[in-house]
Amino acid sequence: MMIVSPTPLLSRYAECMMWLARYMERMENLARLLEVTETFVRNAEGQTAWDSILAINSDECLFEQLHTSAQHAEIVPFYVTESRNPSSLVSLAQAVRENARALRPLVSIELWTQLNVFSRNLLNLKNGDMTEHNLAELCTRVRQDCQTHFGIAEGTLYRDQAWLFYRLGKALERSDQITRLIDIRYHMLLPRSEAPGSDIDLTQWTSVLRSAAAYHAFRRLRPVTLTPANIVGFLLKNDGFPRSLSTNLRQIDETLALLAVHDNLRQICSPLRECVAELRASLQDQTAEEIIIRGLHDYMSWIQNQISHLQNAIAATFWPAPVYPDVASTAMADQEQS
Amino acid sequence: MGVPLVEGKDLFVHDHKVFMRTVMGPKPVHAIYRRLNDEFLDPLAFNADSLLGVPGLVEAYRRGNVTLANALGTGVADDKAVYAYMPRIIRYYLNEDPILDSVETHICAEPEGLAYTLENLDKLVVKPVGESGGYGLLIGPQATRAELDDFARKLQDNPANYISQPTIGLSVTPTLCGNSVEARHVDLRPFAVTGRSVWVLPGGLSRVALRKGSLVVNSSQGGGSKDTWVMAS
Repeated sequence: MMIVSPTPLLSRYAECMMWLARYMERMENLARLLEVTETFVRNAEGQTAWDSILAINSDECLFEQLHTSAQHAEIVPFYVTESRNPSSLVSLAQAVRENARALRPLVSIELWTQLNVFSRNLLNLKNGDMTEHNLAELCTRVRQDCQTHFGIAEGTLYRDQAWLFYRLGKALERSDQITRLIDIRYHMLLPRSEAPGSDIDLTQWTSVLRSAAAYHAFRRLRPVTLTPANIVGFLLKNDGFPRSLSTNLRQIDETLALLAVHDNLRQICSPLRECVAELRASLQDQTAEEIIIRGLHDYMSWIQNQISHLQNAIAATFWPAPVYPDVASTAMADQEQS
Repeated sequence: MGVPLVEGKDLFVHDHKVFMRTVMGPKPVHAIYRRLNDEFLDPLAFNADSLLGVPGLVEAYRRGNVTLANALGTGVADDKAVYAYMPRIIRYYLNEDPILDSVETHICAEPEGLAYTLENLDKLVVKPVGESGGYGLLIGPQATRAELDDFARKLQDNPANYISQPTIGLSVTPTLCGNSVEARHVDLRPFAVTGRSVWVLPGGLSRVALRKGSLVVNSSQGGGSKDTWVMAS
């Protein structure tokens, strides 16, 4: 059920709602990834493969700029307390706060209160608070705080247009995250020289599932056969798993369909829905094995490009950058979020 | 009041008409109740560095495409010397006596007002007429001899810039200060909405001075606010 409010939603609120959901989702994913990496993920030499997180987030360049030597010990603080890294936990906490503050008139007091407390806790983190021993504890707490947030949002957010933009943000972020994770980890675990089907490292493949909170669900579906193709297929194509690509593309489409119900939005939404339909069709037309044989990396890159294109198209549709006459045009332009 | 709360960047001007940026596309705007000072309203008309305003708003206003409340220049009514004339204004327009008395106000631009103020400086609050936010004022009972003398000189140099009022004994309320609860001064600002009829909002802005002993409750001077309830009975 959708409530149509008498005054249309301000573009600014739609934008903040979307980014609030995206950043919260990103934070939960990062916390889980740090947690799983510390416990399970190892490189060929048997050491914790922290650098896989750099690859998943495409942060190698920024990391090298900030650190002269690619010390593994520096990767954890880079993702927890480094304010110059926009995808660190503290930066995400700051971004979440700014968006939520702008949304104060729209969100419930319970939602703001929880977010206020937990983002403040994160912003107060010092490097010294984070030793090898309590990283897992910190990440567990962040993950649970994010899950609490999503629970409060589900239980208290009013179901009007603002809610739809929140849902869009969450599904877009999940789609992006799952393709990045599969892309990087698949190629880390399966060097090109190795033929598909050869012996695989079960612990490492299980960790891919754990990084996507998919281990339990996958095991229910396939208690015995754990193969790379099964895992890739589950994360990309399973319609029952809440973080799979296909589930989230479906949700993006459903949400756009709900938006299209409003007065003049049907036409505006249709190019966006076409873009999603193309993505969904390409996913349905191929099995996981076919995707892998044709080139998993290229396909994941294409999907990421399409998702980023969709994000830009949504922005251009619902919060077009204002055009100002001559004076102060650059200063007035909105700060882009990403 | 049931109107959308917007910021400058939620509005834009096209063809000298004002629009609101919404997910349903631009929506025309015909009236704005504004909380921005004149000088920040439109970078094209006033302060070019203002990021708060709406470029082109003033031209749209000049062409009669949008109503601003309060209108440009109404800040003149904020002049504190107006206080002294309020009873006379009410009598002139309504032929009535004020129901609520204002605080007794002396206009230093008038010779009697200035003489009275200088004589009783240590008992009075003296305020600049054009300022707000609790700036530039003297609270006589709390001032040192040197501060009083200094202020008397300022007053004589430019008497028209000041008014004076008796120091009001503001109430105090329990306030959390660090780890303890202490007494701090408060005031209450009620709001009345005037349309076809006049109604008073069932609440108000309670401002509290957080510095010990201070009578300045303005938020710009570190004042805080208190939740305010109006009981039905």
